[in-house]
Amino acid sequence: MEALNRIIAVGLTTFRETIRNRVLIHLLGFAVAMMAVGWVVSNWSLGEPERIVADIGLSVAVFAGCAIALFSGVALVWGEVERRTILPILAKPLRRSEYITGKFLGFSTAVAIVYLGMNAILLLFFLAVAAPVTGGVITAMFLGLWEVLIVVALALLFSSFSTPTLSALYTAMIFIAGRFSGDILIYIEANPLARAKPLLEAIYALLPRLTYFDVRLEAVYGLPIEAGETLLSSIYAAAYIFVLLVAAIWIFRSRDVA
Amino acid sequence: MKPLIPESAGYLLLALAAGLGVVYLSGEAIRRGSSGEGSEELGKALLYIPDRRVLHAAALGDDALAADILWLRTVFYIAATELDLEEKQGEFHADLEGKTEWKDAPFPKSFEDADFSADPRIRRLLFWNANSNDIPQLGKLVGTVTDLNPRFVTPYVHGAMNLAVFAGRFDEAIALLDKGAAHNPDRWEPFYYRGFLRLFARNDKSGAARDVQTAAMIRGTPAIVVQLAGALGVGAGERDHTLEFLRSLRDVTDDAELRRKIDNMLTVYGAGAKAGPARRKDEIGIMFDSILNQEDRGGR
Repeated sequence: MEALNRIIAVGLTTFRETIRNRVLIHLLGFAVAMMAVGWVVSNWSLGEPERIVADIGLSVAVFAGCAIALFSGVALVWGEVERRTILPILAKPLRRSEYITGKFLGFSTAVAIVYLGMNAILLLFFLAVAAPVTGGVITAMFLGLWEVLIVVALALLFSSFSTPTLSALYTAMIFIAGRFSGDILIYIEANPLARAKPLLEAIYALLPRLTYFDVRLEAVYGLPIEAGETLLSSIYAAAYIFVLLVAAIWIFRSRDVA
Repeated sequence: MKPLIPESAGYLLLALAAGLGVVYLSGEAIRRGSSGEGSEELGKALLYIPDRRVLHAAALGDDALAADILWLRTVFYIAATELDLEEKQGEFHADLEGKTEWKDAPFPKSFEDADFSADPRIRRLLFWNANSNDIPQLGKLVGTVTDLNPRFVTPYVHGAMNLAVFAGRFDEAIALLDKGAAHNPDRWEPFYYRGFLRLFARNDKSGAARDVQTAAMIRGTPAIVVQLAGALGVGAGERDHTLEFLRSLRDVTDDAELRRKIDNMLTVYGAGAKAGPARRKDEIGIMFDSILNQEDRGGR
């Protein structure tokens, strides 16, 4: 119980720090502006304006959420180490695993609130063009949140041992590669070079399969989204985040921060 | 020590105003220097249309978003081209009045099947458009958009109609609608507009009737399409098939008003009324009306 209180204390501090971060406000403003642009240009599309608003809005919310996770998350641990503010924190009866877990929970809660806020604003644009808010749209928003949380966990992992610049680079590279995980699978199946297959299979196994969380097309066209697949995608995301957190704790446990 | 850059508010404001002035003047000079028409400028910008795979990578796998953005660019391209064409068509009409070579110009083979006899000027204008080559990138642009998002119906319809009307590329337009119909069997628009082009450009009444009847069977189709489907089918000499189609549609529709209209059609066509060649102009007129009044979504 005491451990949980310590995690919550770290989480609350991280949450407050994140909410006060100006990067977050700027990216939120940018995302809302892009949604508004989507709404304006949907009038010029000669048809299906509601689909354009939904397409652009859902994509922008996920991209902005990932950008917030990336730019704010990469300095999460490294910043405290550099500023030496971590020393009095670790001098208290607080385990490093609790520190990392608290950091993740606080930061991911802040990012999730901002992501959900962006989606709430998007629903206003849906109302403006009379686009239907279907179960598929809500599912797309929900799965988008998992994608954002994976980027949060990636940024935290790299922040636990690397500089913010390098962490941003690593996180962005894995995010981009993860978005093309579906293409890697196609390449594995089509590749005539049998010797390259184990390497590609290993890359595919390690990368976060972010395509699992992209059901935007199905949502926009009202195509069926299997509840079982949504559940499996959520389990996959939770497990992937868990692995990243364990890796971050393992690296940070043995790190000399003095 | 005297500062290298004066920091008083007056100097800074002066520097700001001078800088803004240079930015404005140089920007305007470049703008005036670009001599091309709107579509020419856009055409140059669209000279290289990236492959679907390149756009897939650029949009980080978000193909639908890439399709939306490319389609909006295509809309600007179409709009700029049509604005240019309006101006040029004014010159064309002046030419038509004054010169005989337009009147006597031979029609290409692709126009032989076309039946625009209602107004030879329309036929000549389409021929003139087809030879003006003012919208060369449209086919590839729309092809790329629909490769990225095959379920995006608007580019099929507007792409095909613009290819047909502003470039006279009927085969390309019908092929585009074939692709749209194959990917969107639940949408009436690709079938309907393909039927329109078959009737308007190929005088293929049976093909047009089949397409419009397929469109009429899809939920959300405007009620007028059903009436047209009946008229086209009988006009094509397929009375029995058309009556069967109308009866099956009557059985599945939950729209009382539409059912009443179908009953009327069954009475009229069942009694042997003809919708022969004399009605052709009316059929095209109905199709134009239904395109312009798509809000009328009675449907089945």
